[in-house]
Amino acid sequence: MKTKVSKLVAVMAVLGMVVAGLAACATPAPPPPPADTPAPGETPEPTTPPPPPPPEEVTITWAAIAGFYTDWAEEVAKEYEEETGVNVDIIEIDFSQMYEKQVIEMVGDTGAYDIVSYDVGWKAEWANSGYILPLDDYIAASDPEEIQFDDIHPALIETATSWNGQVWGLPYYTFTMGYFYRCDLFEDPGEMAAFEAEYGYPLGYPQTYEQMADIAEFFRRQPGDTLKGEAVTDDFYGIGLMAGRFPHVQDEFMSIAWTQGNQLILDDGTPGTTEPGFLEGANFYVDELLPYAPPGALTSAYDEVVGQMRQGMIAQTAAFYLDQWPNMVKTEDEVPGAEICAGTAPGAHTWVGALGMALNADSKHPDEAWDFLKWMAGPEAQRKFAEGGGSTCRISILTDEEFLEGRRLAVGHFPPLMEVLDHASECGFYPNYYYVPQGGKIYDEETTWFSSAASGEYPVEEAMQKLADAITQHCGGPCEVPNDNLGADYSPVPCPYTYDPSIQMRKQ
Amino acid sequence: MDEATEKAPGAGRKPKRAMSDNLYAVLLVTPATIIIILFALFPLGYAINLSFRYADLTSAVGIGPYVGLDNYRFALNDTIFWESARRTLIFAVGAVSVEMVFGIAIAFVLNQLRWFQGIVRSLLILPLAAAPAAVGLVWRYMYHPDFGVYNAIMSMLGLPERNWLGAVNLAMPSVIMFDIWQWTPFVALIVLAGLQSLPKEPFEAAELDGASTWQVLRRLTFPMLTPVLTLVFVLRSIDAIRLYDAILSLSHGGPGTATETLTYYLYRIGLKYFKLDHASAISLLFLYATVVFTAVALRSMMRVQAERARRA
Repeated sequence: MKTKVSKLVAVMAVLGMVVAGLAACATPAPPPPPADTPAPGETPEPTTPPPPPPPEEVTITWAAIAGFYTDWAEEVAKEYEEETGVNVDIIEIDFSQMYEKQVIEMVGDTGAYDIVSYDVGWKAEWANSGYILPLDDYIAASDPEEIQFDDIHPALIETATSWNGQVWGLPYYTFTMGYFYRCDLFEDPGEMAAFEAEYGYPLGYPQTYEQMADIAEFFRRQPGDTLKGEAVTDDFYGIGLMAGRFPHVQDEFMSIAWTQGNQLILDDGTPGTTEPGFLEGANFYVDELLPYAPPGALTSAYDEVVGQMRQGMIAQTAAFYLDQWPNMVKTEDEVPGAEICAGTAPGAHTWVGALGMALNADSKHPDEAWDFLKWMAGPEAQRKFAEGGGSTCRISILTDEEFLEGRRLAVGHFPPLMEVLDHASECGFYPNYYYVPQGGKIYDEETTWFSSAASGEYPVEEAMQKLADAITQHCGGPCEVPNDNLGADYSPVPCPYTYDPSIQMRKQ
Repeated sequence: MDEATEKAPGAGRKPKRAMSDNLYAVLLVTPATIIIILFALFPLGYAINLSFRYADLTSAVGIGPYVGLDNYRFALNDTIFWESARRTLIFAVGAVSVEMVFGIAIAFVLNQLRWFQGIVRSLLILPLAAAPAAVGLVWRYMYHPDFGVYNAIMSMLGLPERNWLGAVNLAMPSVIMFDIWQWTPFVALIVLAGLQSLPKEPFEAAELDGASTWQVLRRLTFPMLTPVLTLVFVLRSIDAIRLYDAILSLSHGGPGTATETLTYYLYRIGLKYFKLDHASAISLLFLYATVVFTAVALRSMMRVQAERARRA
């Protein structure tokens, strides 16, 4: 009897669960009529017509890069919410996960994000795959004053908005690369004299990567050596590098390659990584720079290099993201006597990058998303964004002397940033890689194989051959390169460039 | 009529059963079966289907036509696949063998402990309770050659500092060390439970016969523990070859591809390149290898058990 009862209880429990599950999946029953609804047959009393239903509450979801700049963007977005009543939900994603997290939602047509953020190397792929919407019609239908499209730096219009003759997004944040160094060390008379005696030319901002390597070698100090006349207790390194398997190592490798006139993908769509010039640049990175970096370089991403600078461990770093200025400059508070200066990376042919905001093709609120997108990338919000240290893409802010005045800690990198952008647009420096539809995947392959070359897992030549094979495999042969800039005047030879350090915003 | 002999209505008839045992059994397993079909068999069938098709989710085609064995051909000719399989094997053999040795040793020590056994057991659970991704990040900083605690200890001991996760030849041993820290307690706790459940009589008899410790271990303890040891070995091995989260948080597969295991490579081609055709073929080959290994290991355990049952 007991067994029967327990069997029945168990069966009832299982059935209960099944019924509850079915009930949860079923369409909910209509709500009971309100208390004042007249019963059938009763004459309804005349009432005033019901008020119109309140407008549907709209929430825009924006997938953005995690970091202090997005924390600030979140603050700026609150103003938009107050002005319009539209909610903005910002999803912060670590950069190393941004590509796959967004693509997986777009592939699945989930519409999880109304606005997606793309790196310049992903834009072609997303546009080609139909993940994002072209903005030309939206822009044409908008008030030009609201967008002020021509105020976006032309270099970033080219790299971060356009592909195949259409506009796919608006950049809201640039992480164009440059150079950070401890100018207090570079201007120390004792160090200057010692450097000149050893290398035969004065110590100062390096105009070439070879000079940067000399400086890296010069500033490598062991415990017991002196630095600025004082004995160092810990190892001091000549350069900070991001050689770990993170999406930053290729930015360092490629800056050297581009400056020396080499390309990741040649004009005919074949990989350029096994070309003699490219291999020379890669070997230069491994043999001439890495030996003077902290051992942690082989596992470092950008934030670890910032940490090394702020702990007073390194003298310089390049090519490095200029947008990190607000973090880098904190070294001045943390290392006694330190002063941080920013410049262009030697040769200035570096990553002209930005994060663009684009409309997800699966957005449930594309119009509202566009309204927010153009507001966020527009001049008013961008100015507020820049006040908090955000690296804006707008010329009117980057060059506004009045705005820059007194804001060194937030925008001290703006002058060299303008230099890099101007140089790119004047020279038409738009690498083919930016326009290849397999850019997102190639980006990850670069991470793997540049890290492999840097760590010595494979000799440079073998690692670059593996990268070349991977590029060919992803493109299914030579890559398609819809680079509008490859016209009759195009030349892959880099323009000469000299940086003038007098434009820097120096510590008072 | 005598009331005492009067039969109640219905008496003498076979009692009506509320439900047959078969129906009852079917009803009980139905929810689990539905879950297994939905979350295991259906995805498996889908993966088998994809492994014979073209399926690049980021291409204009998406999931395309059947391509025969092309994806398996790709996998078997892919040097990165074989390299990552080799690394997975090195990791699994390195980690599981040390975990088994340490785990068994700890279990024996704990079994002899008269006091604080409960506290030590609770402490052993701590590494198991932590999420590998979270503790992996902590370990990444502990391993950091510039700021990490391990190099600080090496320096204090006057030993040369190491680039734990940055040196190609040291990165995999460092990941193995992390896994040993996290999973040795699991082996220890299971073996301890096995030890505590062994019958006392054979050991008392051996003691009366004057058997040495070594003889007791060799003739009694280990043979009686074999099913537990085999089970824990199989579980740890399966878990070790599936290693992913620790790799992601510790090394991202780097430097280069030095710690890129098969599951990390699968993640790369499946969720970074969205080549589900190649990913499906590789994961099915991986599944096949795992099933064969498990079957062989479990078969030996079953054989021992059957032999023992026959003798009894």
